[in-house]
Amino acid sequence: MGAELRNVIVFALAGVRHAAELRWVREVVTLGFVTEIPTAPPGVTGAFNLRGNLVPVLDTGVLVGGRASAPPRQGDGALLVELDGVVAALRVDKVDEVATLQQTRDGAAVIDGRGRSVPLVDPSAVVRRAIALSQAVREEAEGEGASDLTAESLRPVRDPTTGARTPPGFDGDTTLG
Amino acid sequence: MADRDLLVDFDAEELALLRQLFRDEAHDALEQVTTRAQGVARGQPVAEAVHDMMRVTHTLKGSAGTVGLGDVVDLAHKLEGALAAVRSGQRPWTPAFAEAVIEIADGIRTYVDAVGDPTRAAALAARVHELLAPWSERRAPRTTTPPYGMSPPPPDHVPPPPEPADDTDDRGAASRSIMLPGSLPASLAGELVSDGVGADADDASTSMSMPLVDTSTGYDARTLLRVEPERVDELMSAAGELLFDRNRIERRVQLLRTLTRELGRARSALRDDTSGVRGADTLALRLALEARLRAVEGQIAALTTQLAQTTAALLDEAEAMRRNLGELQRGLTRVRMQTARALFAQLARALRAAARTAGAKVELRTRGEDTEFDKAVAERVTDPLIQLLRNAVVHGIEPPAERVLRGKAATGTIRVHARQEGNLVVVEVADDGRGIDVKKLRERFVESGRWSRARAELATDDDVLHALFDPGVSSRDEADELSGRGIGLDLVRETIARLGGEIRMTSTPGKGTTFTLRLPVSTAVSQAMLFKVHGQVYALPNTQVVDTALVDADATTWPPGPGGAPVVRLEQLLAVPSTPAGEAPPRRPAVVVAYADQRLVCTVDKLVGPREIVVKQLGPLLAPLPLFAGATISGSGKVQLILDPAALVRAAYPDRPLAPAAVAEPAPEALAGRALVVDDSRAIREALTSMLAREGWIVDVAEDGARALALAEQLPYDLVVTDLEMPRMGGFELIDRLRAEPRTRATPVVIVSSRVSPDVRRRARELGGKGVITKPLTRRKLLEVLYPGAADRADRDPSRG
Repeated sequence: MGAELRNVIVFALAGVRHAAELRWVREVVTLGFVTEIPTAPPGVTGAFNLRGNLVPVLDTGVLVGGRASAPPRQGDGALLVELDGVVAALRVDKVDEVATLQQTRDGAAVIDGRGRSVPLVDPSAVVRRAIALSQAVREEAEGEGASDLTAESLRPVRDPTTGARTPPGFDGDTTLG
Repeated sequence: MADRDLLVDFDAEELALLRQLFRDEAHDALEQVTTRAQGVARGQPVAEAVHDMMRVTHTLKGSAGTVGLGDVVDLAHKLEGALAAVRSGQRPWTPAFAEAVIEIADGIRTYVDAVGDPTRAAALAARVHELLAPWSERRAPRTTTPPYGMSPPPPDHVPPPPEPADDTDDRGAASRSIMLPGSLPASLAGELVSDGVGADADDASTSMSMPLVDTSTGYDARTLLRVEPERVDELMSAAGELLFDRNRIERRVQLLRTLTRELGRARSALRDDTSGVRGADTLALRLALEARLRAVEGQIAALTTQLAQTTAALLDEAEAMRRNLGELQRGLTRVRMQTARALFAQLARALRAAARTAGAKVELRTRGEDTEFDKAVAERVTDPLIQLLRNAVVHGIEPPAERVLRGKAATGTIRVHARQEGNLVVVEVADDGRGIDVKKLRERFVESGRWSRARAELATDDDVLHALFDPGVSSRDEADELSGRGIGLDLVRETIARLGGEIRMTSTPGKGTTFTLRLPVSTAVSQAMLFKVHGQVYALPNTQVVDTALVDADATTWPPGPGGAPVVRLEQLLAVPSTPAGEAPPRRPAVVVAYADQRLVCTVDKLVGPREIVVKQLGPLLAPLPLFAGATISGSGKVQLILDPAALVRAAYPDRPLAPAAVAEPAPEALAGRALVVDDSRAIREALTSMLAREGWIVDVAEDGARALALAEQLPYDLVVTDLEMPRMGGFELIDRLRAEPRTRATPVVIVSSRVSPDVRRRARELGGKGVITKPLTRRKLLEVLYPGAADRADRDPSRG
């Protein structure tokens, strides 16, 4: 049952304080230049170079089902999470504190020093979800009927009024379809 | 037992390292024994071979004792004894004995790889003892102290008793430190654990049932990188140069500091003097000041010169440092390189094992032992090569009797040749077996329902042969013990492609089959073409970039006209915003990509140029994205993505014409006939109707496959243009049904779809489709499929466009 103590790191995300169990967090890092990864699923916002290794940057907001935060930028803070050999950086607005806090009964939050409830984020679930989304991109690419990313990127958007499909980046000529 | 004794001499870590070294050494020694035994068959003098084998075996025995592997001591001792009997003339050298020696060597090798797993090791040792038994001289190994000097003396050979828990712990600790250095990739480590050590009681039964001569994983268990001494010397000297460079640069920087200080002094002197000027009106003071100023100016001039010199020198030294760093990097790359020798040895073992299992007589002939490639490439290509050998043994090489009947040598031959070609290593695997009967294979594809008759008839021999690489195809029906398991040809091709290589095959019935693999020399450092798209730099491996070009912004093929490769806008593939039409230049730079016989022209925003890059893995999170093969880090520390040429070609080849031989249908350009347009979108139907009408076609339309089929039953059509995804009946079903009717069997079909994957293309080809058009549909694309060279015509006659 609940009421257990948890070692957590408390951070701000899109103006809201969140907590993550410390055991998932390998270190707190400052992002270098974040390279955009085209075709990556939402929530996977880019990758940066951490000591010679490529580390994906995740938008925690999206991956916990919330709204997208601002695109990650050089100098932003991030939690470096490692799960089964997968290393990823969860971008955060600000790291507040590292503390041992009481967990709420349902396990969904911790109670901070001033008695406020801070929602718990499970970084492992966030990473797992990102992996699943990424796999889905591949499966779609390999799946029947089509759809490599190309198809994804070239897939016409159906115009709701006419039913005609308008391709993005439509380039003139007698183009239709 | 032994481990605990040894742990007095060595700490666990040392013992682990020693065992690792021993494993390498044993691999070498046993390989030599095998080579010598084979050498005799090729006519080498027996005495010499036996002498060499005894020497090697003896050395092995000695080192095995040192690391506490009593079983190996024992086995090597028995082998030595058996060899001694031959040397002394007590026993003749026979082919059977040669076979046994090779098997014993393989057995000991497998045992050495399995020492961490006592149960399995014991079983393996027992098996080798069994192999040795017929050749041993009634010698009970345990009763006599072996007559060789050894320190420490060999532990008694006692089959491992049920061990007390603490002992197991010792072993566990030692083993773990052997097998799981932190740098090992988790997957490999996992494999090692299950293969070699740390197998707990639960695993014991599984381990026991593993094949005794396990060729697939044994060699991989080596985790040490062995490097020739000269290469280390090269590295040392390059590193030494760097040290000098650093010292020189540090001295210059020191000098720069001094100069800066001097400049500062000069400046403050000047300031002091300037303040002195304020009250100065006497001539003497002015003259004195002028002299001072001149002196300061002189000082500053001298300092400036020195500064300029120092800067120039610094630049030179930075350049030297860059060169030396390059040297060091190249040296490190060479360290990672290995010759094909180890790979060949491994293949030879695998072939022997496969031949034994299959009861076949096969000989391996290798050439190009000195061909170098990256260890990583060598390791990853091993399993595919072994699979090819197994295939050759099972499917290719005929039984001896049959071979003799066909006028071939009773023993089959598999040649494995390696050579370097530019940036690539080419490996050929050729057997002299029965080859593949393309005619029969074609029949089988039809009989099994894999291909339609039409498809089979249209396919060239090469198409048929290469269909063997498709998933789920085997050239023989039965799944047999050897090739039925493990990876098939589809996985072989996939593994090779993932390495950035490709594989082709040729076959002559009655003569044999040859596979040709083209592999990159190294996966770590490679040449790449860098370019910018939407403000980001991307790379493509230079091995697949054949050219750069300037392409008209609206071109669909390049060079223009028939035979040109399709133009793909990378920003569209990448789904990043493209430059607004107004600002786009009339011509855009492009890279020409060639992969698997296909060309592709990718337009980019800006070419950066060729660079040497270090390839980084994307990791499990990004690796599934199909467009990217890896990443690299730029000089300024930014991550840059490497595009996968295979994926580009697969994903974006918009108007791939069918192979010339496959377009045997009546050419529609002779007359504009009656066409049927099938699409659930009215806009598309209208567009196609108008486009076709302009070309002189009479056009009917249908909103789905079912309606189209009904129309086709009533009217003869010369052309069907269809969408794939439609309500009621989709495009593929429609084509299938059309093909089933004799009347419509040969009607040319063009597919228009927004979802064109390689799968779709393949199915389209199998169904005998005339071509596939990726939406957005343009008149040019349509004409190009209908009439090769139509793009030209459209260009010349814009009034029709």
